[in-house]
Amino acid sequence: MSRGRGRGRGRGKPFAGLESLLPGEPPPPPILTPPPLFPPMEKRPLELRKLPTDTELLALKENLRLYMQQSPFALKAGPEKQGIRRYSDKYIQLLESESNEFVSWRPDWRFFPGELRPGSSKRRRVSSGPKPVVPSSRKRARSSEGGRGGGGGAGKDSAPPGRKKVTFADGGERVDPLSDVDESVTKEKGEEEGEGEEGEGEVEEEVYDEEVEEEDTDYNMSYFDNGEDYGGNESDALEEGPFESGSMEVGEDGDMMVEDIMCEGAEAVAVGGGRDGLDISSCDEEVPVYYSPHQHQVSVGVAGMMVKLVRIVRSVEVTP
Amino acid sequence: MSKQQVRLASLLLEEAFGDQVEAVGTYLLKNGGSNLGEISKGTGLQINKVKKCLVVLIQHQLALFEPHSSGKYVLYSVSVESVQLRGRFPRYILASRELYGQIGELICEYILHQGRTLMSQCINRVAERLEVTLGAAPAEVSKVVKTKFVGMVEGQYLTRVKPPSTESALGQVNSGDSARTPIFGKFELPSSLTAIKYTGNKRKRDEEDPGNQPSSKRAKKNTGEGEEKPVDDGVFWSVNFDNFHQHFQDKAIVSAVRERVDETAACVMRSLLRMAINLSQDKSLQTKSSPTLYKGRMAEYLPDKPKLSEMDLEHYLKALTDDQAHFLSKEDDSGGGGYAVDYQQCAQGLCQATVEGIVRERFSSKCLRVFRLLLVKRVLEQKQVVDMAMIPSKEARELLYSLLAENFISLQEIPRTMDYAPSRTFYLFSVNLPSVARLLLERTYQALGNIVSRRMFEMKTHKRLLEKYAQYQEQMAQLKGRGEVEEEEIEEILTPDEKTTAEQVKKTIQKLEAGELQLDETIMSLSNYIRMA
Repeated sequence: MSRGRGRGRGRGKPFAGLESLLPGEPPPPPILTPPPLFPPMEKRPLELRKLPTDTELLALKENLRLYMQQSPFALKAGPEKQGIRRYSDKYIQLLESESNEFVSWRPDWRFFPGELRPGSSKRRRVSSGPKPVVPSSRKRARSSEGGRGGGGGAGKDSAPPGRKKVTFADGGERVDPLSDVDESVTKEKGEEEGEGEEGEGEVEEEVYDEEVEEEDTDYNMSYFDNGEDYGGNESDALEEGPFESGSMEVGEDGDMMVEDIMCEGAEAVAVGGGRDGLDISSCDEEVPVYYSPHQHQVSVGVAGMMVKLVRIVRSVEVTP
Repeated sequence: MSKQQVRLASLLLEEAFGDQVEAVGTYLLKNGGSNLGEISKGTGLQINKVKKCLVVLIQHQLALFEPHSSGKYVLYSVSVESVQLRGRFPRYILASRELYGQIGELICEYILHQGRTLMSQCINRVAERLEVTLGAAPAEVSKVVKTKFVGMVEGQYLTRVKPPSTESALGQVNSGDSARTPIFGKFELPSSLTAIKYTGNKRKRDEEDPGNQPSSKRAKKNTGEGEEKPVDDGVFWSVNFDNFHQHFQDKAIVSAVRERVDETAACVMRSLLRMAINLSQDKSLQTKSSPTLYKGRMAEYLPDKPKLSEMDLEHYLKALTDDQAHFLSKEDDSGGGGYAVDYQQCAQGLCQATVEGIVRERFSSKCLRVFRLLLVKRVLEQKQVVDMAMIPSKEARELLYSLLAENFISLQEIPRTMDYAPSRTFYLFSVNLPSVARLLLERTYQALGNIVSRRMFEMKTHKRLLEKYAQYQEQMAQLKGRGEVEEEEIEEILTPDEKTTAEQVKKTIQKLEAGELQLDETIMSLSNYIRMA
């Protein structure tokens, strides 16, 4: 710093800089280098005061510092996603949240502007077409999964499930009833999960955690290549299988999870078309597979069905 | 909002909350009110992260939000002073200990940790902590805790957090309370005060969702098991810093009186200050002088031990009034004599003492003599300085110009003739205390910033070592004297070199922290004076 030399110099200082100069002496040579960064000090500063109060203050300060570092307020950057969703991810998060008693702070939103709530900026999906009749009493509680925060985020919005327009490779656009169910299922699921999480003492970080995002999937549309069965099985789509197709309702026992089925065939495919819904990797658990009665496009062959469903889901993802 | 202040503030934020919050905070400090999008663009963080950071900042009363005049978005801003106050937290906690005992200390500490809290929540946590340390049953202790809490509110050391207004143009800011309490009482206790009691060991889960959001209803349904709304929902308390500052100022005045006059005078002063606090309406307002204190009413505030007779009291009051530092000023003759504590003069005296100390350390005590002379005599010529200070002319000239170079004193030229001939102009030296104080305050912020920055550097460089050392100490403490073999094993975690380095580093960090705390006192006295002048 200029040590105040630049300031308050309105008037000329008649003797400035000439303190040690005697008349008749030549002026000192000009300085060519910048002044040293740590100029030598003529005097050492005094020792710090060391009263007992000072020692106490010091101890308090250290405690405060340690607390703040561990508190939920010290936001740390999330662990780097290595691209692959691991099975252990959700359990690590759960473990951390359970062990750390500090991570249980939730703000009272009345004292904060609404836009800071997580999920408040989520756009509603374009809803086109009649909504399916889906009973509100939901299926098996997946609260064991707990760890997924994306569902919580979606769950806070009580958005009615919407349908999506799906563009099939053959150019035909039709409202995909399956997507509807997918979304409604995952939406409901997401909500339930969100509530399930809250019931367990929701972790704020998880609520905020919207890392399960649309683009976060391994399997991008661009990697997909149409299999040989694609486009050829359309005629089978409307063929009704051995089950009733009339009711769109999901089975009471909550067993038919569309995702489950897909899990079997295709690993780690994101469900719900971009919604921050269920993490499919969670489907590694043993789940029984049931055939949904309303899957119109299910062809008889299991393999064909797998492929079909996978394609449908993926194509659903494409739609923005 | 100078450059140094901003730098200090960002260092404090980084230390307390991490670098994301620091980035957001610094951006807001530098750019004033901004909305969410601007912050996100400016800091390069994702909107979600920015939201979280803002929530943290608002929770800790560091950031404010208000709707933009166009009503389209919300503006956020951060005030530098509130961030700088974080450095004073240990002092607040210590002061609560002095005023309200260990329980008061724990209450204050908890509220400072959380930023703001409900009374019930605070009482629960403090009771649990006391259970751990004292072994007392929480249900009983909580009653005492509650009394202390209420005492702190009545003493105005804790204040209510103002709920945001419902008239916000965005309509998104909900506040259930403000509809019921149109006039916001800063120290109003909640109506459910008697109902607040210790609620057991379960973790507090607040169901604060206002009823107008359907998702919350579902949340309430599904969370079944024993999720009560806290009794005093929506009544948040935070620490009232102003009152603590007043407390510190009072302490400083009392110690100044003790040094200048004597111990008894200090007692008198303390009682006068207490009387002033009781008589003033808003205790946290820092006015220039206290309300008039009449001698007739002083008797109840005076301490019992040094029993003062009327004559003695009169004597001391006169001494305090006539003192050069002008602690008291005589306002009135009625009522046995009306006196007022002159806060402004006291602040000036304190600031002056601080500056004098700085001059003494920076230059020499001869310089200090010259400086003091100028303070008293206001304006002097060089020749007069030489005569009055009894310093040889050459030396005096050097001292004066070194002070001038550092801007502690200023020079005024008064020409005697039309051409400004040096031999025929008066050169008058004087001290302009407010400007000196401002300069020094700036330097102090810089110094504090340097200290904090150096400390963080030390901690980062030796992070691994310090962690190891902390682990080592923990294990040693646990296995105290249990077995030599185990102790030896633990000793092997650290090599002796590492041990010495770790201890040295710890010492350095402690020294730096102590320096920060004491520097803060300088900041307080300088800024107090500047504010009051």
